[in-house]
Amino acid sequence: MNIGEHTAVVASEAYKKAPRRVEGRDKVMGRAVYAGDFYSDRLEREIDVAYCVTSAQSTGSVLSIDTQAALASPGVHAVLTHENTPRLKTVLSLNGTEIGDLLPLQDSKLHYGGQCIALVVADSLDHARNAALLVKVTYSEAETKPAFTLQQGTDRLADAKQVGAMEKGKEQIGDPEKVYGLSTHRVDITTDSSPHHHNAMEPGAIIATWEEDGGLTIRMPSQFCYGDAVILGQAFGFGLKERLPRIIGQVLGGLEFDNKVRVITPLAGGAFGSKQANIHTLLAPMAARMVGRPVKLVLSREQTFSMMPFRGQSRQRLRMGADIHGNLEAILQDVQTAQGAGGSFVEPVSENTMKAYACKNIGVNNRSARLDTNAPGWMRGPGASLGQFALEIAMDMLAEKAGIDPFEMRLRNHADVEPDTGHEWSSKSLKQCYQEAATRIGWSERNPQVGSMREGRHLVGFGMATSIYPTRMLPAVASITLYPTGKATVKSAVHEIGQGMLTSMTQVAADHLGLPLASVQLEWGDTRLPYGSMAVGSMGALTNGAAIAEAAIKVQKTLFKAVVKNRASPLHRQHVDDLAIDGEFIVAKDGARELVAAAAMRLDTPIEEEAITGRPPQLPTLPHKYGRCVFGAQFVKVLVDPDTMHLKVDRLVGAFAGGRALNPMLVRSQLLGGMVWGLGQALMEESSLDQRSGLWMNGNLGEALVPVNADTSGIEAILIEEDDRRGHPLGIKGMGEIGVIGTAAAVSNAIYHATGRRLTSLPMKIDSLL
Amino acid sequence: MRPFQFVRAKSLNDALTERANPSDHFIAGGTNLVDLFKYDVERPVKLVDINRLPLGEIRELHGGGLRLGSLVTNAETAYDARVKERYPILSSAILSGASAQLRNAATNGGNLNQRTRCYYFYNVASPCNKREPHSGCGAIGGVNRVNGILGMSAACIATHPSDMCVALAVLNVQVQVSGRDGDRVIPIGEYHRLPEDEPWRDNTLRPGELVTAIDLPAQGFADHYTYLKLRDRQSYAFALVSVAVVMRMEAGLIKEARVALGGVAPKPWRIPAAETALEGESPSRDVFIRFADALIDGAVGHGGNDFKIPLARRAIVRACHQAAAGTPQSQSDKRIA
Repeated sequence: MNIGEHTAVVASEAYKKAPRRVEGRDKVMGRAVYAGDFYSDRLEREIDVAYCVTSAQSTGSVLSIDTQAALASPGVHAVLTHENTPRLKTVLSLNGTEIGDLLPLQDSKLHYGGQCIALVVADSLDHARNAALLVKVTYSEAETKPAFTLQQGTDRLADAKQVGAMEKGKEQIGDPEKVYGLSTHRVDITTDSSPHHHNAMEPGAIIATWEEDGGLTIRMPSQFCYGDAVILGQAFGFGLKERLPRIIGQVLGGLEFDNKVRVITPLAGGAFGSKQANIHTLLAPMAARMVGRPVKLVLSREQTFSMMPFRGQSRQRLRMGADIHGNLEAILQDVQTAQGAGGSFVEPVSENTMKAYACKNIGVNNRSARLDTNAPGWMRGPGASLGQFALEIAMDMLAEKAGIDPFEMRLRNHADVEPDTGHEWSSKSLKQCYQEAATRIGWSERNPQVGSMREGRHLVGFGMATSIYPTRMLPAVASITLYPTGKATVKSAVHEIGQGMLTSMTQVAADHLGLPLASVQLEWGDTRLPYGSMAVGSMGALTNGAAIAEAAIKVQKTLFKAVVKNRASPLHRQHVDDLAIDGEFIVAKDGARELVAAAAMRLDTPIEEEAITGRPPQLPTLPHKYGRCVFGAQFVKVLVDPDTMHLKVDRLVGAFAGGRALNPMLVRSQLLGGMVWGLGQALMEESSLDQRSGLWMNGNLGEALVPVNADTSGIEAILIEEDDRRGHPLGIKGMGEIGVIGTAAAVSNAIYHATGRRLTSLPMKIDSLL
Repeated sequence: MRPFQFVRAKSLNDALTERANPSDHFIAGGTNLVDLFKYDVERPVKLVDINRLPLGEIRELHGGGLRLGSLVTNAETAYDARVKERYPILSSAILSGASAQLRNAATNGGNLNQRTRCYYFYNVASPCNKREPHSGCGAIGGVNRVNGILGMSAACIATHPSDMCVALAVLNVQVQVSGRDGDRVIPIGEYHRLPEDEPWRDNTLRPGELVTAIDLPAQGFADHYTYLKLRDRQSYAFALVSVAVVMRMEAGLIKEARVALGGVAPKPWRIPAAETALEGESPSRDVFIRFADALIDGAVGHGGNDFKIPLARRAIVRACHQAAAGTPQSQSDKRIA
């Protein structure tokens, strides 16, 4: 089904029928519960509130820290510093590259500005916050040659052996250097990008409770509750069984461990990669242990800048060569990225370069510099959004050199098979995406002459870019119980970070069980539940959806077996293999049918089934039969006032092909949200660091700008549906990141078309147009 | 935020008496001041709530002007039928700023007295002469994209961030203030001050004085005006550069012109001599470029904000064209008219 243009999506039957968010009503009514909403009454225990004191200096050390006045301040129960805090054990985090080896409050050394150097615990937030101002700190001299930017840290650059999630930092096919040197048309560009933070509406928040049996219960927004439980288990010295809370047991061995660290993750008010393996995850339990009460810690906006991750600074050199007809011959990408003082995360900027276009000679090389800042980490469109910025600008430049329309340039270099492996794609409808989006924005009216198009006083520019993001899967476990009441419970520790996971997973279970949505209860976000996949890398719906679907099919089969044996059923004596679920009915080949709910009500005992996906040998790192990516095309129309050079993105049209849309409304929201992110990255998002002090200077939403409604009025998302059942049991692909990828390049290309200015530095503000 | 005493003033005299010390603050809408408390930039000992004072009306003045009470909100002012009809530039400037929610809470008196948005002023871990006298200026040599290019000193390069005040400047309004020593009137051009070597003094209010009203003169320039604001996103951001222009035109010639810049100086920036030079001229690109060069004469960038000099020049020229043509910048259509 090709849903077609945006208006058609909204009007389509599939869209209208798409289940609304199951938690949506609570959210708009203000009844939805977030971690910060846990007060003493909800927890049914007295809780203390903590507030961080952060360092005013980036390097050197804390010489003295005087907490007397703070301790004497009303309501204060404790002040934690490196001098009185119990030592934590080393964390070998599986996912938590951001925490790394820099555990909080362990010694006096400063690693970055805004580092937590004390934690005040009091009976209320205002008491804690007031006392935090009374903590007196003196510092040693700062280091004489700190590096807070790539420019300052040039001599710290080193080859990155691994980038992203254990991908190679250096890859090559063919002989790109040699072939590039011989190419007829060549471009050689350098692009830059500034750091910027996730700025999820909800800041970091956590409530830590030590239980009477020595166990630890955590409530916090997380994209990976199991992963955070491992970090906590390691840091607080739980035994092996406790600190591997069933990941290995369940996923690899089918064993059960009794874990003592429990992480409950309620709704997250936005995450975007920022909510896992955070420093404050360790601070709250430290404080709770010291005061003997549950402790709540919510970061201020400013503290999220230094205590949570961000997208680090990057610089790329991209060289691209083509023959006289515009056919790509060589791509060379040299990447420099910023790393933090701790952690091992290196942004996978070159992730898509090996897969984007048909080209026989491709080389990527990543280098990174460890800077004296907090650690950059995963952020929506990780790496690829930056890599595609350089790649798609270069494509535009090459098209111009070869005298080809940018659209035609992309078609000419379309990768019919996965370039680096030669595998067939599981599905790829990129050409349709180009066509749909081009038609929608009116690309055929584009005059290729730079600066030639006008609308009233304004210069008009059209630009485009390809969107591509890998589709991967992780392990996940789900269990489903069908009760004789005709209702079912699904258990899997999935995460709701705003992407609609609760809705889509309830939907998958209901569809496969043949039950109405309201009869299916999803239990989620808790390490007491079967292992759910982390909500990262556009992998959540695929991974958890596969596990839930498989468990539901098992339940279905068991029910079928019960039904055919039951004399009261109209399906008595049918063959199990002749039965199928159709809507809310079990239907036999001969047309006999019975409501699933009615069949369930005849059960003597509940049916309980569990399924695991992504277990070896299907681990995502192992070779896969098909190339699996989600594709799209983004087209932009800009208006530039020739007098002031004021820029407005008038329209942004994206068409995306991601298999079957599980829920067209949720998918559309994901895509629109992603495109807004792309627009923010293109035009404004920037975290400003003082290059002398290493402090973040615009750590608030008044000065760290993100797009507002007035910036985003012209955004449209088109869904191209495709059959990807050979790629995934549900025929779906990951849609979380794709909307971000390519937006900034399309904007840059449109600006060039309007003005002749080739902007290669993100964000592209008015400064660069004057 | 540190603990403070809170008192609610029942009368103007009460308010003036209650605010006895320099560390005490009047509070009305609190849209800027409360943030400053949270960031520990301001450390009030006593807050005097003035919201119950009878300063919340817009009244006609003898001679055709309007008196805007200092407690009238920005939103009430911008949407007042008399303001919209007679002083559309004021309405336009207010609506270009902040958000609907902020404009509903923020008052006219508070708008005059809002503090700079310089990053270093808000970051207490950094030096700032405006916040902490004699601690140094972090913005010089630092992150200074939002800072000023005109009227600066070696001690401070902060700007005044108001949109409303830029319009007030070209309307030649009078600020009514009351103190324990009596009432006085400050012309808007003398209200905000340059930093010189005392950047902690934003304006010429004397200790304990309270703004009670803003008097708009009769002449509102409703036919030829514009407020052009350039910023990093299309709404809800402070101006990088803004320009307020009012003109009186006769037979296609400029009879009178007043132009003020926002976002570039510690006060709305006007050069009356340059305005005089526009009188009698026919609107043209050359005339406006010459004027723009005169208005930004002496502008100095500090690295991150160098772009404001060419941007201001371009914005002035565009805004002068808009005003002369009678096609003011819309604050809802984000394209430049």
